[in-house]
Amino acid sequence: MPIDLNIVNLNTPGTDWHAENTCLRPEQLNEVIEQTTNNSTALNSLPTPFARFFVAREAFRRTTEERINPNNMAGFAYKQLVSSILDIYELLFNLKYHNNSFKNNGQRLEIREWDSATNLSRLEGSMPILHNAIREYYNTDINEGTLHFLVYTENGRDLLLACSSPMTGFVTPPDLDRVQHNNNGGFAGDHYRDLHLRRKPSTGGEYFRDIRMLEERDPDFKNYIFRLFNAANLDDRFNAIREYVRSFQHDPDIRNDYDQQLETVRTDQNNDLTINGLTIQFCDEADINSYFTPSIIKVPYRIERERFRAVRYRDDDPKRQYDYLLPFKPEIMNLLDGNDIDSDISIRRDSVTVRLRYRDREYTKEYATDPLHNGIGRIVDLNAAHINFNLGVFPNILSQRQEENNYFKIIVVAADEDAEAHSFNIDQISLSFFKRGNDNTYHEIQEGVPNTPGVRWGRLPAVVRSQQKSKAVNDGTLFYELFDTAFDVVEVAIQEATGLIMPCWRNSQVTPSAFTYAIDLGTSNTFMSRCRRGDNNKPELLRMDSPMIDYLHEIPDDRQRALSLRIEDSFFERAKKHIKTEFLPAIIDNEVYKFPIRTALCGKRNSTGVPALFDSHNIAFFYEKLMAGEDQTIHTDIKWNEEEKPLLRVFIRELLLIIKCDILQHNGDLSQTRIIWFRPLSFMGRTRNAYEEIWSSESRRILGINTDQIDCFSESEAPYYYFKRRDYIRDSDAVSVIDIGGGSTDFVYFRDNQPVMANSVHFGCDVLWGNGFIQFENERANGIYLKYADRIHFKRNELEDMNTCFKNVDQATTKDIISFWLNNADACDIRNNLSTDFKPVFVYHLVSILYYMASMYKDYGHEAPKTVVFSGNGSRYIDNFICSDQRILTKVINMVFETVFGGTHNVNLKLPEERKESTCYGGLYRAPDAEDVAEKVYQGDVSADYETVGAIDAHYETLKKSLLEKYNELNNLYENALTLLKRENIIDHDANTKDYVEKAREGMETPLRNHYRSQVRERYQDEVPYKDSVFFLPIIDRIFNMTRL
Amino acid sequence: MSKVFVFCIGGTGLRVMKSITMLMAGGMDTNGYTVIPIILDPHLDLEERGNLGLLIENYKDIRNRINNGPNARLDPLPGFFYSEIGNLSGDTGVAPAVGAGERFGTYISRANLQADDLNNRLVETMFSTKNLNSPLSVGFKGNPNVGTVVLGNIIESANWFQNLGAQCEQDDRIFIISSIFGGTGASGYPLLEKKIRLAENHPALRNAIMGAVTVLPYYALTDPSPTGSDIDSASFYTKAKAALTYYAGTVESDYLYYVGDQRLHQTYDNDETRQDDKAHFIELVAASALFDFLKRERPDTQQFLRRAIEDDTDTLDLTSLGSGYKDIVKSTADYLLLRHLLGLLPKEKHFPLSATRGFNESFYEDNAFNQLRQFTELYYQWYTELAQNRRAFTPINTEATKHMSSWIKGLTLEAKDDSYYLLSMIKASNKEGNMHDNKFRYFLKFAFDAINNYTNKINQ
Repeated sequence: MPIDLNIVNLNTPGTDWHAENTCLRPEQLNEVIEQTTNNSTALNSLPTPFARFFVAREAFRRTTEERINPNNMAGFAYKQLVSSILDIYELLFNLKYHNNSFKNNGQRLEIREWDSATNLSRLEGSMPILHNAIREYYNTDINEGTLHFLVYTENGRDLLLACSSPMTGFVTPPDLDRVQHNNNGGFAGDHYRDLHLRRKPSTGGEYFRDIRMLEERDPDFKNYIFRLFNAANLDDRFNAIREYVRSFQHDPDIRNDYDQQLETVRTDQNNDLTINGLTIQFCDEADINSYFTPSIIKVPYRIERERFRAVRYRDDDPKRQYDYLLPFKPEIMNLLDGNDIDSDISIRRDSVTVRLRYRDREYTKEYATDPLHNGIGRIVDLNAAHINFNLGVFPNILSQRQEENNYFKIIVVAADEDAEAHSFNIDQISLSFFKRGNDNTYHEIQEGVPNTPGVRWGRLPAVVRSQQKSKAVNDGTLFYELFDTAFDVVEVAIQEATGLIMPCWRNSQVTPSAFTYAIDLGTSNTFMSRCRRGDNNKPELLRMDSPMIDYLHEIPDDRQRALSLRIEDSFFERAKKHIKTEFLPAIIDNEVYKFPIRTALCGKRNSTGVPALFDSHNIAFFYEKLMAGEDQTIHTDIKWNEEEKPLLRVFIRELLLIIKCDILQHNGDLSQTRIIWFRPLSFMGRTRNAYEEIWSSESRRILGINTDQIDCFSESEAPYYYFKRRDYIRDSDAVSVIDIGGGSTDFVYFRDNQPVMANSVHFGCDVLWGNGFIQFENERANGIYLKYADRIHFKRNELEDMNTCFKNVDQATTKDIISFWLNNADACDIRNNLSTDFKPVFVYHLVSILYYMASMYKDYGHEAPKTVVFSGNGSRYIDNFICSDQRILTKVINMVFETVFGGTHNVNLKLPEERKESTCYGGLYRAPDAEDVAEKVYQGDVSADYETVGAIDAHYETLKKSLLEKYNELNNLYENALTLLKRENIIDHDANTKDYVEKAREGMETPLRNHYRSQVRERYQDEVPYKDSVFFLPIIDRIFNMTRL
Repeated sequence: MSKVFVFCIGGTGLRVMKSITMLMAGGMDTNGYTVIPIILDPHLDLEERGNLGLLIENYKDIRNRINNGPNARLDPLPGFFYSEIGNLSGDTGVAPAVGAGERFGTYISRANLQADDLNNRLVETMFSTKNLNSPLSVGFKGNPNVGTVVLGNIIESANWFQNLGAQCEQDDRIFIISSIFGGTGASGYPLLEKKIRLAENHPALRNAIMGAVTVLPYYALTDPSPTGSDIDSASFYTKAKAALTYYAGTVESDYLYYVGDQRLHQTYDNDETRQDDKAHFIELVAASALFDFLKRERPDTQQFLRRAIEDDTDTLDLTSLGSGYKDIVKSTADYLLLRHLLGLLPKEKHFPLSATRGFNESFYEDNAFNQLRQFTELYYQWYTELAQNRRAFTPINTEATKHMSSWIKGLTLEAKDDSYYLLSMIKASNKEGNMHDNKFRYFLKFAFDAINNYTNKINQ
């Protein structure tokens, strides 16, 4: 049978040479069955230096033929070339994504223009042989004024990926061809050995290493390339690739209505990348994959999902003890309609895959503990890195009124858990905050200074409060404060890694509910109560149902334990103390944390500058529960210390922030809030002004209320209203309320339910625990302290430890230490001991108060009170350490009244349980428009004008004479009272009270003179009104001395 | 006398030229054209290249001896060595080779480019690192893109091309022989064609009728792995298809002959340095293209030519080849019969022409006869290779010396043994007078006449 001597049988007639007008056409060659070749040198088989360009074209034509008839196999070499060229198109289509991905790796893709005239001219000089060859073929084979080279730069080294081609758009260099079984990583050229260019995660694999035909590619890309080569007026030289692409017209992914946002690729000369009329574009749509972070932060605890948006897990393990921060960049929020990121995560042994769904598409990124290449992110496992951190947001609730969301504080606590080699510091954590604007885009909240022109909101500079500094102290805290704005997203940066945290805010509802808060800021303790206004609502304790701080970690669901304990105990160990001592309790639950609290601030030791809430100081809610750290100082003398007003401001600010949170939790109207605060009558003018300024400015700043919504009542009169409302006072003819606090004692005389006069003296129960007028704060001369310092022991270890600490800390005063004993009296023997050992001292304190009060009322022309009510926590020494039998106490009062007023008396004594609360509650019951009580000053004599210091000084001798007489009378009463108490078996019969009486009777003139000089004369100018009473000056001294008997 | 400049490019070009020479030796007529072979191959050390040169020189010497008259040159003698093989004046006709061991990258001065020169990227696009590092002494290893550059420079820089332009005259022709699946040939043909068509200063050359035979894949090579060869015959078809596609619309020869095979019947050792591939039938067919070309006039449009064989068999004779191959078979049969006579006659002490024409012992020991004998041995070796190759070209029963009527397979000759030819020689001698004293010319004439007397039957 005849056969053509040709590579294809064309049925040539005869066996002579047969001539025809047409050459062997490509389509006639389709029947030629090629042997499989992996040898890419086959692709150099054209007699032109530009063989590569023609072979690329042929590769597309052959591949198209195979698509039409699978028997016409294109062969490996051609298919890999088609795949590589498609890779170039895909690489450029995803240029935005890749450039975003490259940012952190020093990688770059660049289109470099090669102008033929200029460069061929240069080539003539350097490579004349090649130049001559190119010159002859360039115009016939290429005929382009400009070629473009796609160059990939990595580690400062250029790698050519492609050259533009007028026939196929691009050709790849022959060294980039895939070959098998060599040592060049599968590439023909050794310099591509380490080339690993990952495709977008959604498609996976690597460019140039995978052989991937168009049908196997991403629908976005397929539609792009389909449109690109379906354009009209495409040069015929593109026929081969155009036919290849058109063969996909029935591909299910190809859609006519495919809408893509494209931008033209630009060259290094900033020109459009146009190749033989074909303009190459890239996808300018949001590059979803670029929103994945390069690393994912794994935290060694579970994130509290009710309070923070966190990753969702596929097949979550209920025993999981870790969590991941959202591995996205903040910009991703601009893509979302709401705040929710639709993503989940699957866990494998050493890697995780994060899936993000956006607009019906899923994007993935893999993270591995040890990533093998750039495309895979790194898992930053804080546990493995020996790093731990947590953060808390206060408050965690938003008002519906944006202007009321004007303060947020974020604590970050972190620790380096590596005992061997510390490498982490709190400085290596930072937060960035983002808020959603009215245009639904997210903006970073920039650092700014409040109340400066043009600054509407912002973030204060971050403050490191506790700094890691040694092996022993390898944990720290960092505080952020946002002013006049809330936030929606937080970006956490830990060393090089970042992740998102999105708080799930509680939202307050707008209701007409309005609240009044009363704050009794006492010398020792502070109490706070609230009252929902209207309908005779009762005042109530400040008790929260839900936390006001959200911490990142999950709260154990152990309902047997108080929520506040569950929150605090579930912190990592090194964070616990920071959280307790540098921030506020997560919840005022009235169990673990409740009012009254100790009036104490915790401050950063050696802090310079103005105290700032949380940045340097905060209310010491932990006081007497936990010792402060060695870098911390406890301030307990806030109320009276003239120099501590900045601390007072911080204290009040924190209280008001708690109030604000409480109101919002109760859906209250912040703007309708009223604040009542109390002042002792003995406040001197400057102090009182300072208090008023602080209360009004802080209330305006935090609650947004005006001065007329702030009331100040005297501490003395408030309890009366409470007791009256509670029906403790039935006979209201003449009632005296004696409010004994830590620092002061207030007296208010009521007649016919109206306050007639009030008086306050700086003579509270702290006199009993102090050191008289010894100026040194750390003086430990108080007899009570000295007697028990080594004898008081606690049944509970933590209290015993704290007792030891208290005693060892220089700053702790005897008042602080004895207050600690008393506040934990149930765990030690202090109560019995005091009652046994120091009852005469307490009696002297009580009799002094009673005598002073009676003398004052008498001198001001008032009849003896029919009812005497004690309030204030300070008054608890009466029933605790003297006698709880009101009958006997009444006898003492009657005895005093009979001595002062004459006649017989049968006083109605009230020692109510709610001693401290009475002030706050009373303030809430008091009609805001009630007239203020007339404040009277009483120095122990009314025969002269003692209004100012100068006046006192002028009549000092007169006053002294009167006082010495009164002290004599007081001492007699004291002796009689002791006798009475012996008679009533309150004091043992054989108890030695004689020494106390003698001590009381010691000369009072000298201490009066000395202390008058030091405490009054030398401290104030003549014209200063002296609202306190010199009466108690020697008595204070005397009580101190009595403790030392 | 018109000339045909035959460019023999690469290994295939060499081998096809060898076949041309052998066919001419066997009496194939070039239609009056003097064949001027020009060998284009950068292989410096290729033995085949040297052998061809010797063979051609041998042919020319023999022909010279035939045509030498007592006072002047005699007319060409029809029959053996009838057509003339000439050479380019002022040049050997063999293009210069490149330096020993020189690598392509060095050859094109790659090192002259600065690191930041963008032309580096162009070089990387055109050539692989392997291309750049390849020594050129062994050819282009199947990389015509490299060959184009090197051959282009060889052509550009060699004097012979200028000589060609100067010597190409009206009615002279150009014929280019190359393979399409290798390196040198594949690159040389379009390049040379382009050079010639652009030879503006030599209109005769530029406008010469041009023919070319493109040899398509027809043999395989052994697995390249053991020898580390860069040539993998598995890619031959791939390369050929790519090149043919490139040729379409690119090459402009008046006549373009295609020859190849649809199966690679023979596998050679894969040794780049030797390329001593045995003569192959396809080369013979390619050689036949020249003779066909020289018979054709300038076409109106470009012509593409192909041919077939009658039967798709591995062993080809006149029948399986088909009638189109009669001239080749006859030429071969004739020369092999000459060979038989060359072996027989020196032993025939009583052959009458020994006395009458001086075909005596001294004649047979003369240089001319020895040269003929040497050439004939090469011829026989060539035929043997053709006969032993696949496809096997074996139309001749060379062993049938006792029953010589079957000398040409498929055809019964009248001459039953060698005595018929001797007698026929005597008759031829008797017809010829004493026109000259060139015994050698007489010998070959009488031999051809005797042989042709019987083998001419093939054309009937």
